[in-house]
Amino acid sequence: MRMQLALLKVVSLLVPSADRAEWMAEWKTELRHVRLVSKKSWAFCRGALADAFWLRVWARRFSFDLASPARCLLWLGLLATTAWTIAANLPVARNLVLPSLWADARGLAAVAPDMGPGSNPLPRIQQVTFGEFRRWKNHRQTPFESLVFYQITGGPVLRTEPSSAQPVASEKGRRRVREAAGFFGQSECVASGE
Amino acid sequence: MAAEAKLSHTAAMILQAIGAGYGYGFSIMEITGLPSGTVYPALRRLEREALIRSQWERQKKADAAQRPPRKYYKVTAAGKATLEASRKRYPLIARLIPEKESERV
Repeated sequence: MRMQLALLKVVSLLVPSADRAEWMAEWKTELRHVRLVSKKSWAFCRGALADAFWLRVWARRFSFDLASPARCLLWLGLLATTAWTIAANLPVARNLVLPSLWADARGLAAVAPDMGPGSNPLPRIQQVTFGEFRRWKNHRQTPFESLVFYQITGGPVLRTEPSSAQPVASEKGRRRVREAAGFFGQSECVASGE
Repeated sequence: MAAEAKLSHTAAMILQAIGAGYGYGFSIMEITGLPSGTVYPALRRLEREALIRSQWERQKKADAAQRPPRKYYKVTAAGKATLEASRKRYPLIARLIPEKESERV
């Protein structure tokens, strides 16, 4: 009986303080009766948790008065913050909700090695594998009117023109731009800052 | 006339048990076969909806029976109307939980 009373005492902490004493008194007297007529007193005590939880939820439900405009706004703000936090942590929702870092992100595709699902280094931009890109490149019928290539570099934003190539900040940066241009088979490559 | 609250089958069974004279939690559990985790929260809800009311047994009476006082539940007037509606909705509950012998007039 002591263990069961201890359990009831712990569970009673869930019950709103205004109802706790009466709740405890009722469960104690019921438990005493159960012990006299049945051996299922532990199973009986398990119900106390559901009861206490119900009282806790019910008390919260009705203690929050939405009639006040300030509380209503606070409640809406809380809901919006929670929804925003959840959306910002879910990849698909984040892509839909947050503004893209890239201009016209819907028209962009990242060319990258195919490393399987979930390996996209730029999750908010569609990914095209090297294989797909080569197929497009070698295809006689071009599916696009024009293609513009961007490459992420470690250096500052620099741009090379086909006629008057501007110097790039470092040898590393120059090499990256050359590699990109070579890979894409273009004389022109626009590099953006990382 | 206020519309009677629509009860679930379980809540209707509990209300029927109280109406039939099973006045405290464990006796309701015994007659309905429902677990304590269902019966007690349902009692709270029925009481909040004013379909039943509770009253602690007098200490004298409890002392005479050599036990702590019990909390008894009774069906209110609103509860009686709801119980009638529930009996029409669930005709079997009255047969499942007949009135206690001591409650019969």
